[in-house]
Parts: sequence; structure tokens; C-alpha cells
Amino acid sequence: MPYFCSRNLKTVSIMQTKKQILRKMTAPVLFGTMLLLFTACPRNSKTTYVDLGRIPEQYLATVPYQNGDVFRMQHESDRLIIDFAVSRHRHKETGFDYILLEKYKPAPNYIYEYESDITKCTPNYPIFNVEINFSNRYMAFEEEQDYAKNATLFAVGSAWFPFIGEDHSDYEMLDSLKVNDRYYHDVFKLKSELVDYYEEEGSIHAETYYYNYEKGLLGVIMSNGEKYWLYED
Amino acid sequence: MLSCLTVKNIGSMKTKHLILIALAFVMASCVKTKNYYVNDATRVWFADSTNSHFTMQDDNGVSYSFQLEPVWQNMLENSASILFVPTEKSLHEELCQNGCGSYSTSLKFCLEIEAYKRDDEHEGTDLFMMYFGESRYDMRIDGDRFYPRGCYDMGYDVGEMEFEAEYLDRYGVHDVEYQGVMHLKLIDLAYPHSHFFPTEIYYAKHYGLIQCKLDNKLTLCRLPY
Repeated sequence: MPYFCSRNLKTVSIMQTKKQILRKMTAPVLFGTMLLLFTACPRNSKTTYVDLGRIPEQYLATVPYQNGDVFRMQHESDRLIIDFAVSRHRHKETGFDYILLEKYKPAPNYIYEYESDITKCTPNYPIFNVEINFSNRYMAFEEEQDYAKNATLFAVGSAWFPFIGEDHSDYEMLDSLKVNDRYYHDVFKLKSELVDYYEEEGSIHAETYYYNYEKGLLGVIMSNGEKYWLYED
Repeated sequence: MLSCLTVKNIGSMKTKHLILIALAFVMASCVKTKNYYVNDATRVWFADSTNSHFTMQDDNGVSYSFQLEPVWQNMLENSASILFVPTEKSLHEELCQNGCGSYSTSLKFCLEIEAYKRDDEHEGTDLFMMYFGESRYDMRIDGDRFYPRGCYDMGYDVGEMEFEAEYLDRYGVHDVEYQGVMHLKLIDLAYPHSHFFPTEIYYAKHYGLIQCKLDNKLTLCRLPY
């Protein structure tokens, strides 16, 4: 047998030895992996649902719109009357809440059930839409009233407004307001408090709105002075 | 004996592969990267920073403000290969200007140069894409010469619609005369799309959007301030 062949045979035998070592190692490695997987499992996987109840009626009554309603706004030029179609839905939502979890329930298996009431007013013209959202996500927690405010949204286009009942410096109450030869009473006048980052200085966005509990939105004044008023036949 | 020869053959095969791989690496390192940039004559269609904030008003007196961001540049990488061996590598420039209008109207204008020319007719042209509201207009552009490709409705999946494009030396809007204006007009009006779909667009060099007509015949014109 030539010399190079015997050398090659020696190499094969080393490879076989390596394979044998690998075979012996397989079982302990598998066992170790299984052990790691088991320790990664949570010890207590039981989930607790916390029902935060319903949104108080006093909040819901502040929005007079019902699903399917249509209200009309007139542009100050008098050439344009825009229909706003209303959709309003109340539903239960569930979810983890890290703010609540950290303060009240440190265990990771609590899921909160809360209620949301969403009113969307969609125009038939490319201008602002109106959205009013209520949620009792934080209402149950007296210490979290700041979050409760955040859970209520009143948006006209990209501008966010404080909603009635919230303590705000731009809040103003009018005994009456005349709109298209009609008088509306107990009118709230509110100014926008937050505009998204695209809406920088000089951009046109809703700046002030007039509102009462009976009719809802009575008027909107834009940042360039353009006005939209409620139009009733 | 047979097994010994097999092992030897495998060894030589490995050596050949290693040489081939090494050669491929050497060839890959030899491939030079070519850079392609958008033509200077085409860049003038971007709005200047002084014209990046403007207001449009429609026939009913409703105003819409627009804000354009600075033009951003991206170098897209392209490479060609034969049997995994790179033969050509290139970077081609993409320029875009994003904008946003009040009431969530989006506006975007992009220019791109293709690294590999498709045919002689379009050699030296840039790709042009304009997004306004629900519309997207695509064409090839070479300075003041336009070669329309298709218009798309981002709201409805109706496929490619035909449009025509012309260059106007000047065009007036609200007593302001703009020099060098692109006029895009949709021809396929039979497709179902939103009443507010832009069917005609006027776009000026250094200014951007100056006028547009919607499917419902409403016209938006740029205000002079």
C-alpha cells in the first residue's frame, strides 16, 4: 500500500473519533436546551380580566350626535354648504396598559376591559373631519385624571381641542350665539391646544370652535380667518 | 484503493472550487461602481426653499395650505452578475420632495435616473413621479420634453390611465405669470374614481404646484402670497 494511502486512512479514523464524540455530546446538549426552555416558561400563566365598567352617561350626553345623523356647515362665502355624515359606535376594548400595570398591578397577567365611544363626522368636501372619542380607560382611577383627559379626544382636522368640563385657560362660556339668524344658548368657545407637526406656523388649521350640548358643533374658525357655521333649514 | 482515489479526487475538486471562488472575488473587486445623477435641466422642477410654503384656494373660497420639505437624496444600488460573478455595479440618484396640505392632502414629487437605459429613445431621460391626493402621474422627463407613461388612482385599483403632458413657456394664475410650466391632463376620464381626483395639474419650475382641476370641475389656484 502506497504511503499517501496509509496517511489518508489515518485521517478517516480521526474523523470517526470526532463523530463518536459528537454522538456522545448530543444527549447532554439536548437535555440542557430542554431545561433552559422550561425555565423560560412563566410560573403563573393565569390571566385576570379587570372590568373598568361603562362610560358615565353624563359624558355621553355632551355629544348630541347619533349614528346616521347628518348635519350641515356653511362656508362664510355662502357658496358652499357641506354635509357631515355622523357615525357613532360604543364598544368594549381590552388591552394591557403599562401605565396602570406599573402603578396598580405589578403582575404581568392583568388585562383591562374598558369602553370606547367614538363619534366621527365625515364631510362630503375635502375639508376637516370632526372626531370625538370617549374612553373610560383611566376614569376609574381618580389619581389618573391627567390620563383621563388624554383618553377624551376632540379633533377638528389635525387640530386637537380640550373638551368641555376640562380645566383650560382658553375655555370661554357664551350665554348665546347668533348663527344664520338663529340663536343658540349656553355655547362653549374653545381654542385648539395641539396641532400635529406638519401644521407649522402659517398653515391653515382649525383654531377655534363653538359648541353646545343641544346641537353640537356650531361654528369653526380657521387660522386664516375662514369661518364655517352650522346651517339649519 | 478505490476509497483512497475518491478522497484524492474530492480534494482536487475542492481546490478547483476554491480557485474559482478566489477568481470570482478578484473579479468582483475589479468591478468599478458607476454613479448616475439626475440631469441638472430636470432638477429645476423642484420647488425652491423660498416657495415651499404656499396656499391654494378653490372656486368656493376654501383655502388649503401646503408645506414642502427640503429635497432629499438617495443613491439606489444596482448590480448585474453572470453566474454569481458581478459584472457591473452602479448607484443611481433618486430625489424626492415631500409635502403635506391642510386636511391631510399629500403631495410628493420625485425624480430618479435609471442606471441602465432601456432603449435609445429614452436615453438620458429621468423618471418623474408626482403624487397629489389620490393620484400618481408617471412619465419620463428630459428638461422640457415629457414622455407620459401612466396615471394611477391610489384609491381605486383601476390600472394604468392615459394622460398627456405638454410644456408651456408661461402660464398665469391669479395675476402671477409663471415661466416654464408643466401641464398634465388625464385623458381616460371614464374610470371610476373619486370626485376629488386631480384630472389636470399645472406645475411650475422652481414653484411646484400652481393649479389643479378636480374630477368634479372644481379648480384650485395658488394664491400669490
